[in-house]
Amino acid sequence: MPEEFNPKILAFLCNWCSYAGADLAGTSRIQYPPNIRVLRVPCSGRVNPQFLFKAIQVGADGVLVSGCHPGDCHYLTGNYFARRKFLIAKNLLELIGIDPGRVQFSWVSAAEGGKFAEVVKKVTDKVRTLGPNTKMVKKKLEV
Amino acid sequence: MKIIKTDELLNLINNLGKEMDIWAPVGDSFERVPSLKTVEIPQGTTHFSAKEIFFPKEQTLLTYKREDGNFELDSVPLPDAKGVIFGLRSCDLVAIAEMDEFFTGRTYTDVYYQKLREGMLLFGVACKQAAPTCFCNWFDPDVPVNPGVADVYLYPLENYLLATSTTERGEKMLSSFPDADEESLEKLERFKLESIASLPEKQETDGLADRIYELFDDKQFWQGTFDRCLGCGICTFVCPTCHCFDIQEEIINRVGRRYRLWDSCQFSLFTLEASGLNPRPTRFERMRQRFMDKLSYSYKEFGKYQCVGCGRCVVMCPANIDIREVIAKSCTVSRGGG
Amino acid sequence: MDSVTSQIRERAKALLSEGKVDVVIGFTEGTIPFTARPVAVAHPEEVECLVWNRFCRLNLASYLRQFKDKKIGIIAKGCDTRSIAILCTEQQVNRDNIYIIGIPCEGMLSRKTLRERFGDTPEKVEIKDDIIEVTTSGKKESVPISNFLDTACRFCIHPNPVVYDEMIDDEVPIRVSQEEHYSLLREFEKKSPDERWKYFREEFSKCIRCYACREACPTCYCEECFVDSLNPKWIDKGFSESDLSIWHLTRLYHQAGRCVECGNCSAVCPVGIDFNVMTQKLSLDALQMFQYEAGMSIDEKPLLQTFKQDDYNDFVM
Repeated sequence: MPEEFNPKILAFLCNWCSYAGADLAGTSRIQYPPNIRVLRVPCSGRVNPQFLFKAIQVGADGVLVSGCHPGDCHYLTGNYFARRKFLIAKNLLELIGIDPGRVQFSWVSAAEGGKFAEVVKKVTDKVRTLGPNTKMVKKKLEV
Repeated sequence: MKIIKTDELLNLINNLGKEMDIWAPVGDSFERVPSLKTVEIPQGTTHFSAKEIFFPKEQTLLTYKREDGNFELDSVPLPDAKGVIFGLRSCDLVAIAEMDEFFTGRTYTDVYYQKLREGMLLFGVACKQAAPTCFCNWFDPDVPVNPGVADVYLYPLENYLLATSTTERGEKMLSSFPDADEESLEKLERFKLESIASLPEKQETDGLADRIYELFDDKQFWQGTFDRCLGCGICTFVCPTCHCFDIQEEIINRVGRRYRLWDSCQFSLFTLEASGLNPRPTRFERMRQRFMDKLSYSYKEFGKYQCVGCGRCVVMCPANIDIREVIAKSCTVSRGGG
Repeated sequence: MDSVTSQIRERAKALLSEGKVDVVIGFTEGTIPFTARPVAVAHPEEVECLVWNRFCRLNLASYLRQFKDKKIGIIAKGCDTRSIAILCTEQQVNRDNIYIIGIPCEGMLSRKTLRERFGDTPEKVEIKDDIIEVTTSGKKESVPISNFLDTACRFCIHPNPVVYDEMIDDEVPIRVSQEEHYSLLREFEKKSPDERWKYFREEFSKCIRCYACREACPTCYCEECFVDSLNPKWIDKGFSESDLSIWHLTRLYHQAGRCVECGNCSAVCPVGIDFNVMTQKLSLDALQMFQYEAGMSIDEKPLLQTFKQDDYNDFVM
């Protein structure tokens, strides 16, 4: 039987909600797949869609961006702006043929450790069914 | 001068093609073709020149790897390509001669260029009829029928060709063909005259280098051209003599390479210095630089214009900037300002 | 001489002599076939060089910023006026310093398509109503002009000036419906993801990184483009499929809510990359998701600099 594909997923978590949510998941000992690599950002609004493109380029099979629920942003409106940007970036990626399941977004509050684990599980499952990403990845140099 | 029939020429090239690549004008550029089917080539020049064959737009120079604290450096074997390029125009051959001089004829020899260049046999074809954008005669009246650095140079007469060569390897290829008879040579003379007559009226280029040089600060002279310049690099990329390159590094997962790629004086990064100073800070200086380099600096420095009059930049510029106008205008502007 | 051309000259002359503007940006005859070239006229006696024809393809708004310190008159088609509106909204130029002479546009011809059909340099080109007559090697051919409309023009829904100070000639009828406008995109979206990627990787791999698309785009005006940035270095400079894709993807993403689908990027590309599907996507997303159309007024906030609390949220978990 072939070995199960373990995707690499880069997660951009906002400092005030989703990162704390991930912490809560940890302290509450809620299990979630170890496929995500967390990158803490001050706000989901900090995530430039170029980060998503770059992540795919350097070999992430999936990308997750998570921030505070709409209305709860620590900086009041960062996630509202982010939402518009992400939708456009996601649709462009989909247009050029990158499966939309590889780039996902969620709102997870500091109190939602359970939801965080669920989100990670969902994203991981989805990317696992999609298999390793080959599109737009920069090939390793041959030496 | 030798006589060669169309099918003999096709055979000659396709036989060479068994051991090397065949390049020929296809659409916009010179492309590799499995075999040569016709000796007819379109009037004028291709949009992109053949320079990419010796001077690829991207070329790896060396690679490196870091593993467990070790650093390994590898030089990349020199490119080893053999090919025959069919359908070069005389202006292209002049450009190749200038490229040769730039990369191999001065103090430093660029082995990457040299290796690719040496592997290529050049088949030039004289122009029967110049295209309306041609102006090679402005720099040298005989260019359109001049063999230049071609290994084999062909004059297409009605149903056969005359061939000559300027190199030993070219001569060897032609040795088995019969010499041209009186009649053919007469035809050749007529061909040459017709070809030269099809070119536009010659613009005065004596003293052009000095004229342009003096216009450096004449903002008014450049203004009209600058007004429409978008600042892209198309003119330099299609130019057969533009040879500037950039050297870059890239690393992926601890494996890296150093490579060179085409650069353009039209880009702001071209002259940006590490201090942050950019001696050509705006599009104006960059646009002017191209004309200064083509029409003045090169001549003052090396005695040759870097413009060969192929008309590629004229055809390809999206804003229709026309180097012919700049040359013509420099003739009418009185010295020391306009 | 056709009446639009003479009216343009008349108006340009008046504006320049009255001192209302310092310079008029318009088009003049090109030096090669199928081309009208941009020109900036600064003196009333020079206006005779201005022309209007079906080759005035470029979006002149790209030239506004370099005359920033002057009072500018500009000859503008529908798409040009929308780009001008965006530049005003984004405070790149001052609306008070710009006098827009709007021209309803019947659609411009694609130099590329014409060249593919007739070669680069036919002897003679004439346009009579809806027919283009081209003479190559002594042979004259008459072909309907509609065969050579630029792709962007073929699908244009705003041929008439949107923001202007005066308009020359009457409005032209809109040639396509809102739904037809997106037909390229609709057709493309039927393809599978793999087919779409195959198309784009091939398209992007043609790129020679001359950056004409960026330079010709009226709304690509950053002092330092991300692709030129050395620190951080967003992408490498080579020709890998990945770097080229990310370059074009990011540039187009930066045009979200700003692209007016003038088609300048595709028109100037020397290797013929077609961006029209992507620009239609940007436009459709803005319209469908945010009821936003780029460049329709100078008072509206840019798409990505504003939000609504009830913006589309279904794609977020």
